[in-house]
Amino acid sequence: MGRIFNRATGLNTFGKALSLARMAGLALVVGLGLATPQPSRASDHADPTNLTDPTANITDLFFYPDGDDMILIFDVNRALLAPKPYDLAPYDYEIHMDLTTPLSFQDPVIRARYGGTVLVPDQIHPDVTIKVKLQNDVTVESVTYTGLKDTDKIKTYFGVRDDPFVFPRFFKKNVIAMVMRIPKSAFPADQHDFILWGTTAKDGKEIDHVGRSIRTQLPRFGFINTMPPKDQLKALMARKAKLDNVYNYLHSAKEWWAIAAADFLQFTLQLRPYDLQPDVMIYTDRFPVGYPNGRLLTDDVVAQTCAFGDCLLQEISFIEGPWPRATVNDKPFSAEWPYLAPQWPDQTPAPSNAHSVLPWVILGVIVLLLVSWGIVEIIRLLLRHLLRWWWRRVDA
Amino acid sequence: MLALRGALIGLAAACWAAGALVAACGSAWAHDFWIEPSTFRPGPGTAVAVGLRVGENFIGDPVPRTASLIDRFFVRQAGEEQAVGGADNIDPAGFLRADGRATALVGYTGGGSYIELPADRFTAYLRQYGLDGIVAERERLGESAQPGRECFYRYAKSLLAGARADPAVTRPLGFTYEVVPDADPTTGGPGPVRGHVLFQGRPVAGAVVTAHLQGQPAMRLATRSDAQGAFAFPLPQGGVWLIRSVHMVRAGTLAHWLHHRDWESHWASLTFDWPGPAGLAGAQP
Repeated sequence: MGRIFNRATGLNTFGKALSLARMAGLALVVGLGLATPQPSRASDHADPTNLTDPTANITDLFFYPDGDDMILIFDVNRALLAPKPYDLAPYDYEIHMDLTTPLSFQDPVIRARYGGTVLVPDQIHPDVTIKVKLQNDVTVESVTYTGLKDTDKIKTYFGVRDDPFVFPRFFKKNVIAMVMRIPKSAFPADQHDFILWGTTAKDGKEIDHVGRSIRTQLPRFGFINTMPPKDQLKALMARKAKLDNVYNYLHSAKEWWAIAAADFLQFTLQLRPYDLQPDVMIYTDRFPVGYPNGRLLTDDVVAQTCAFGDCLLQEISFIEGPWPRATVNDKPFSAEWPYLAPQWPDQTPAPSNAHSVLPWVILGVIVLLLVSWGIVEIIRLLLRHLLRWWWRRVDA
Repeated sequence: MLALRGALIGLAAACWAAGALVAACGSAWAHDFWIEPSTFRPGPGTAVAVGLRVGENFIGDPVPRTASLIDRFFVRQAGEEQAVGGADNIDPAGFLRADGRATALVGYTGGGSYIELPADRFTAYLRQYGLDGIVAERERLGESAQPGRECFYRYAKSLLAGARADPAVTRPLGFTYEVVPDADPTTGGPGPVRGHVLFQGRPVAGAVVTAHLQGQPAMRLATRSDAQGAFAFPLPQGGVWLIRSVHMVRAGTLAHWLHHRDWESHWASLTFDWPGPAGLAGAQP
């Protein structure tokens, strides 16, 4: 990037450029954010999002075989330490599986990132839906299975467990866990390939989505959180085209700060060539299990996604955690049901943030209005004097 | 007139600048240029990465997107034409969402890039691409010992097979130079793959047209177009094929004096997946 700045300015102004680039980029990002409506509550594990609905916040989706069964783990409510009861009753927790849309495993690049290629992405649909309603004490109110056989043989667990995500911010924290042991006989015979995703909803309105790990928590994917997978690719392509145009326009400008803003856009919100896949988890028994072919509890997905281009969480884990980076969970997983480590002790929640930036925003608006008023008054007076002078000349 | 002169000077400057870029890039001079999508048979609704390639014998280097060099970059499918979007300096150069119902046509035109070669290299290059007429013309003009100065332009097309063939792909796109198939080759079938080469909409007689099979650089078929600009290739096997042709004309007097170029070359290509003489099982004509 420094080379670009040097070429644009002819001077070694990289340091200064970077700080100004941040401002330009921030303005750009804010502008883009305002221009394109974002779901305000959509989030995944490490999203810097509105936390007014923590119990809708999906934190994990695991899917792997264990003998004659498939293990499905779906977690919500990140960074949980508060004691029961929680606000769980209004929410619908759903896991969907598409068992029929064809997959391809021919492209090694896509397989490395996503586990496989969905051949007809706009036909992704749920053949199986597991819908969970929880009570505020984390006991189950109802579980409904659609599209599965032998549902009486499905073993379930609902409760508070250790957060299994290998990431320093969530060490010594809990989640609300939903664990299922589903016999393979519940699926159609010879079912080899699975497309999965999970959602949370309230009053029928989808709030959060999870597919492949560390996907929608990346800032550039926030907008697909409330979208069914069949619509995601179309939306991703439209967004990519729009942001590419902005990038090309800025990057082709002669001003160095425009190029800097383009570069900022590139590593923040601009979609990458490999992003054009629906956000679903793919699992097939044709290959060994492990991210991105399903997901095991022990998968260090932060490092694995970084190896293929997305290193945001890798960086944060270095920023917030010690060196060397933790590559295993802070509590060992159990080989026994329900596999997740026992919960950390309840704690009194930390007091919420006390200070507010709102007074400063109001002050800024007032100052802006005053300055604007002053400028308009000055222009008005100047124009009046100019008109009078001109009229006197004409009259003379 | 002043504005026209300014525009021409601007064009010349752009051409020189592009030439400098090409020179800096070393081998990126007037080689074959074609479109290589991530798949030639995309499913409905799938994302297709559209790569641009430059090279020889269907072995190419990626060409990142450079908006300033693109005149048109589009896909025609389901009766609609859409721009192929993408980010500058990135390979693949573009992305599209395949409709999948019928064959889609991806088109690219661009260029205006300048190149200057020493006389002997220019002559060798002309002979390599079957442009013997230009060699003879240079001799007639007494330019054989002079460096070759040309601007080259690129016109690439690629066919993405859909559920059925689309006769629309047999219509010219209006490119300055283009390879136009007589039938949608993505469904295969017995008999040779036929087409025409058109320059400014008119057939070009005697143009060298070559066909190359992906992954087999030694597989190279060559023919010359007849008086109607027609060519035919009895393709020996199924696979991804590149058909390409280059046509060179004398630069106009204005271009000669203002832009210091003597020739303009026009590079046309067509890539497609030919399933073979047996055709595709289940494909609808």
